[in-house]
Amino acid sequence: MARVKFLCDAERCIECNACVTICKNEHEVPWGINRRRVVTLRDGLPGERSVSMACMHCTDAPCASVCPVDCFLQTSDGVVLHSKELCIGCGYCFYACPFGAPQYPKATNFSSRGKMDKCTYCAGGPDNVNTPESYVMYGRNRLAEGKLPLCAEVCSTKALLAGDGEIIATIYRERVLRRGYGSEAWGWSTAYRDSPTAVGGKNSVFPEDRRTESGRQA
Amino acid sequence: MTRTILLALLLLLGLAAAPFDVAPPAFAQSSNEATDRGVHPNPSRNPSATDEELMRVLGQERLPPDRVQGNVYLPDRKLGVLIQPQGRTWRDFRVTGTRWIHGILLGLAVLAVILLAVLRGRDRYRTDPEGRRILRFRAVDRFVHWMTAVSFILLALTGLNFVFGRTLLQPWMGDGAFSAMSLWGLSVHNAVGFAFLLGILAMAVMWVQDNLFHRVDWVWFRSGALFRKVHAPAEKFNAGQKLIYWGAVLGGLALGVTGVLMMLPISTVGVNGMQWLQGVHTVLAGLMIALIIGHIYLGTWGVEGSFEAMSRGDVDLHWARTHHPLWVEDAYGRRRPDGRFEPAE
Repeated sequence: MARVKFLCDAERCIECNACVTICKNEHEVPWGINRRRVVTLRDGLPGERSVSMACMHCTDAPCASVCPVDCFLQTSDGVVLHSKELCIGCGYCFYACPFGAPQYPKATNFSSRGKMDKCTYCAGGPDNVNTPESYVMYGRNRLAEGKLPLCAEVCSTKALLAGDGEIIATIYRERVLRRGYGSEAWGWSTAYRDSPTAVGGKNSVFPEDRRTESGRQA
Repeated sequence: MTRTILLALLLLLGLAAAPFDVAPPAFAQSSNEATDRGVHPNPSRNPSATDEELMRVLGQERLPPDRVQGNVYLPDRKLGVLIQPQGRTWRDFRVTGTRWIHGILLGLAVLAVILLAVLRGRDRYRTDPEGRRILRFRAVDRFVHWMTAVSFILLALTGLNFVFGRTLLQPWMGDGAFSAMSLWGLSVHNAVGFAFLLGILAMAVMWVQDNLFHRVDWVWFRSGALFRKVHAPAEKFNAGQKLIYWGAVLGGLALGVTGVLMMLPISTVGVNGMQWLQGVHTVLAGLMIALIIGHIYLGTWGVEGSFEAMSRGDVDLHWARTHHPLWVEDAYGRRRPDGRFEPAE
């Protein structure tokens, strides 16, 4: 299996928010939760850039490291998933995440945090099943259907790339060489700094020794 | 016609690009590489680096020094934070720092109690020959104390579960049971915190006048009464008890404020604010737990007769005269030559 990654090319993102919308629609994400969002930097100023950001499925995932109930696992593809049956909604993963990916639905009228929700790389839940219950909790399991994340699939400018880290790194390298400027793959090295494909290496298999600290795997 | 115009344009572009042909070798090299792959970049926009250089730069990209903030078309403002490098610092604090801080503080507190028990021993007392007892804590004092005490122990246990539970309990209990217990613990922690805060506020109001430091407290410190069995003059509370009082009140208030703020939505103080709140809350909690371990020891086994003050409310007169002579004089008057007390005016 390949080590899958996300890559957002800030030179190409036109802030259309299609990825945000299709994600909410595909997975029936609850009110107030956005698994993916488009952040615009220097909005309205010279040098404006937009970046589509969600969980980057980090190699050494901070969320899994700080979780007090150890509810995360990383699949052999490198996808970071969490069990909503174990999650207690403490909020620690949001404090640790560099990209602000974890989201919490309001559980009570005092707006206490419910069980965390985040991007699953369209891989469903940690149980890797395709049941209606799993769909309600985690959304659709497109990987099981042989499909890649829908956000990248609908991206009209192909700013957002998803798939084998080695392949999308090659595509991105071609682009940067062709246009000759703008090597801004936001968060790429923060998320995959210890991963072999971060610098376009040959090995695109998720490294065994970089799984979550508890050694959980799907 | 169209073809002619295109040709003319291409020619013009070629002319315009002519000066760029005398570019540094690196430019020419990467341009050649691109052309080899069938890519024909605009000469005025030649790659600024070679293939290897580009991937090296991408590989060396570091976290930005401060968080990157932008705009989002969403009502949740906290989503405007694109990258927050502080998360990595907080992760190290949470995963490594917290466990060391709490481990060391707990160890030091237990060690201090053992040393006190071994070196100082139990502080016994002789009872008053006539069996006279005097009131030390009213019912309302005792209620406030035990409400705060019970809630503190619940808070400490459920809080320590967040620090050590994953390492110590989860492998032994199993994921399901540990998660259910932690969820229950979090709810208890968030609810009982208010009872604790209420108790601390009541203590701050009710007992502050007995806990102001006076000149006599300096004498108590210099006598080394904590480490040796000597009885320096003390008011209703000796200087050590006053230190515990101020530690509990100030620490408890800070714990309460940071705790209540952490229950609010994250957007209230932002993600970096939450990291600071959690850090301060955790470190203060460790200090408080160490302090209260010492308090529990001295209030039960360490000083015989002191537990009755908080359980029954009254203490033996001779015990009171030994440990808190100034308080007895102040509250019940001086002793007359015949051994009885003359009431205070």
